[in-house]
Amino acid sequence: MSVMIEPDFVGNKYPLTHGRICGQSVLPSGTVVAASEKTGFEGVNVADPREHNFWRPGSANTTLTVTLPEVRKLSYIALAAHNLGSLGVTVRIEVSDGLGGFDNASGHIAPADDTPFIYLFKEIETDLFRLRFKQDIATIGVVYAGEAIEVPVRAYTSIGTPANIARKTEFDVNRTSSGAFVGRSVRRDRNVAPYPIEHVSEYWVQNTLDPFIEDAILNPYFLAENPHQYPDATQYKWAEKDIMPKRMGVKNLMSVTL
Amino acid sequence: MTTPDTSGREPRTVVELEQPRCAKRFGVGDCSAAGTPKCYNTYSTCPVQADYDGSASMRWRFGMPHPNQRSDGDFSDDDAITTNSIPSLVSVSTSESKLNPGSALDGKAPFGVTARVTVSLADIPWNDHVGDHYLGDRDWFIAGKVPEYRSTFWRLFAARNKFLKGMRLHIYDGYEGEDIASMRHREYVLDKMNGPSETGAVSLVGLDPLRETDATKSEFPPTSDLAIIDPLDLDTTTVTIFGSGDDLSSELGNSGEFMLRVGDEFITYSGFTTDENGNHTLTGVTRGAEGTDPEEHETQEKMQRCGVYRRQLPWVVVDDLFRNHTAIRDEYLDLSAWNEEGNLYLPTSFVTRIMSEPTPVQSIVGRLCQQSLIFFWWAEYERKIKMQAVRPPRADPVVLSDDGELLDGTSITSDPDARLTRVAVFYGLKDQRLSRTDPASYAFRYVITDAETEAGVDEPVAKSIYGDWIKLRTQAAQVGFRLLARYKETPRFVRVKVDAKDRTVSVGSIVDLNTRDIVDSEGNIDVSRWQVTAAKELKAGHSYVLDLQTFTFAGRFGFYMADGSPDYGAASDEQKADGAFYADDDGLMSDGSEGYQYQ
Repeated sequence: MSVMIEPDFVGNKYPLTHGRICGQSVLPSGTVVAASEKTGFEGVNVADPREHNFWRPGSANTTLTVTLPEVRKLSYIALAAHNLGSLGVTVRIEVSDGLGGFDNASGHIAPADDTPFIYLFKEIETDLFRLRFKQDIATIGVVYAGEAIEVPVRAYTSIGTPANIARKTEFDVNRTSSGAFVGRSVRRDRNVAPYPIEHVSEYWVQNTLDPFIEDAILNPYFLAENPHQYPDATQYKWAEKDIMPKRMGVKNLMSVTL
Repeated sequence: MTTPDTSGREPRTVVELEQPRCAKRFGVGDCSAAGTPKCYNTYSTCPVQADYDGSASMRWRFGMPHPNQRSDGDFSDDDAITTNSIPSLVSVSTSESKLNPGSALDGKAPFGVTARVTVSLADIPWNDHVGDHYLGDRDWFIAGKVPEYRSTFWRLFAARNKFLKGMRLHIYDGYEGEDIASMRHREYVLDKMNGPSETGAVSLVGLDPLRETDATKSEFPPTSDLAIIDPLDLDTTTVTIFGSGDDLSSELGNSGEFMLRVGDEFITYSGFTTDENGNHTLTGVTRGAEGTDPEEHETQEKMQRCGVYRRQLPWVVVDDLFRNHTAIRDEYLDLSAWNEEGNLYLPTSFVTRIMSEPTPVQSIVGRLCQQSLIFFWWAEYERKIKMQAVRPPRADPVVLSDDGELLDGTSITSDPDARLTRVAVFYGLKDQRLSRTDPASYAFRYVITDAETEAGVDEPVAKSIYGDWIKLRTQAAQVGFRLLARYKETPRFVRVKVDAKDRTVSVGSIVDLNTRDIVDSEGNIDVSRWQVTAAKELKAGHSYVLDLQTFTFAGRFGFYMADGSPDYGAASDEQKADGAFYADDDGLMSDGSEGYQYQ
């Protein structure tokens, strides 16, 4: 899991040492058309946040075009349940030039592995964009795009565990009657890390975070804790219970845990 | 990729629910369906069920929600789709099948106990993004948009599949990174679907295919839909019948004979004609067949077709019963393997029987097992029904020891009531209509006794075998001898646990136990021989439970040899191991070794 950042991008409102919450994908509101797709692996599947239905193109150099009902701000794309890294597939964002063509809005993004990743870039506005995949025929489960919420406070305080090392593993061990070790089985492993945010204004919570919270009731989201310093501390996660911001009793500041 | 031998292996379980589906397309070709909503290619949603063709199928694949684990489906054939793995599998639990070798253990089903698997799943929102041939025709479908969520998966599944007939559960056990095709694969017949519950929990219950022999599911001969039209006096051979022509013409047994039972009389016929009203008249009629007396019969008196097996090998009878009189699929049967086993150990065990009353197939096969000393079980990982004779082991047993294989938790029990010192085999049923469990129904009895034990330490413990399929003394003797050889010592039972690396030891395997839990009178470990009668997962891909029963066959057992085989002195070591030779008068072979025993 990682964050990749557009060259020279330092953040739209806040620096990249601050967390990024990437939810409220615009794809479900638009229409998604793949230039090619294999039977059972339709392009529209990537707009569904579930990690068990996929798009698999019919050719190695292909596009996925998203048409939105209105102009929207975009500052991130994020992918999960993919195999771009192991196949060496790159992805590039292309935005409509309004004249029937597309302009490159990014370079070739090359994920290092198959874990979920976020790509952050300078905010753009568009109602038509596409993602171009090159090198090989990848399989992709989830594509998000939208406006990244930039957390107004710096992420790392003295609390919490970085997501990339917050491993939760269940395992069983077998030993023989005479005490010899014969086997260990890992039954379940997943990185589980709550992400606490403190000292944010109620205004920000009410106006910026709450629409995300409402969307997160239904949909998973991507979260980068500190894109600049710790790009691997990134998760594709979902709410297990209501996200409930609380007043801290200090000025009009609130805290919330994702 | 990890394997059973990897420390830090990562077990994975995948379940597929195989669902029969219609191979036709709505309103296309010879499907006359029309209107809306279109079907979902299931029988329950078919508006013209007479046109339904359930030869296509679909497999719904479910896995546990492990991150970055993907199991892609196969969409290359529209009529045999396998979905991507849906991560809603919660657990798989198995109640193991248990052997009852030779049906000798009283209180246990003749077959032993058949296996049962319970698959627990979570319900999930569902939008038919896969599996619906007509998704694009639904009025709520919008191209380029994620399909609308209509309900939950299992609510929709239940509504679209009111019958579970023909559905199967496939369970795959493997490890992280392993291709599903190379995982261990078990298969069960779907028996029941429970849920979804209020919390969205669903359970699927699968049974092993031998459950298709249950009393409620199969009988032989099938109950006939036949009755007399014109009354019969004692002499007439003009027999008119109304009812099913199929019931008159179907082949029941191996003899090719057509036989009916009316009251207490057997009637044979060679064929029949059918008039314009659908009434049948038998041809080539013989009244009072099989030594019965002709009787007068009234109009509408019921008639029952008889099943006739004459001089047939018992496992061939079982194959016919399974193949033609139960819903067991042919692909589960392996007659060539049964022949290989049977022809080696029981080549002369022919059986004969006329079945004149509908009887559960399970009951018939149980009796054949007991009277032929064979047993059947569902080898779940081979997906075959296996047969074995009650006989000594041939291959070298696997050794399970405290130091390398046995995990903590060995427990031992015994069943003194199952020990035998005397076996009486009744055979030669005097009349096929008589009670099979009444000794008076039989002309002969063969008794074999373990006189040494009876005289020395214990009172006689006798078991009677009612051999309604047995006609010959040699066969009765063989049954008695084998049964006594297996149960002359008190059967003991052991439950052991083993690691996944030893999971290939399974039902039917013969093992030697080397454990300090079993010692001789001096306290030394007593390495003893056992047969695995049940096996199941304790934790999938990690630990397994084996139930073992003592496997007592003392002596040197002989095998039938090919014509032209040499005398003992000229025989090779292999021939001596896999053959049989007459001993000298002192019971020893010419080289002084132990003589062969009848098995």
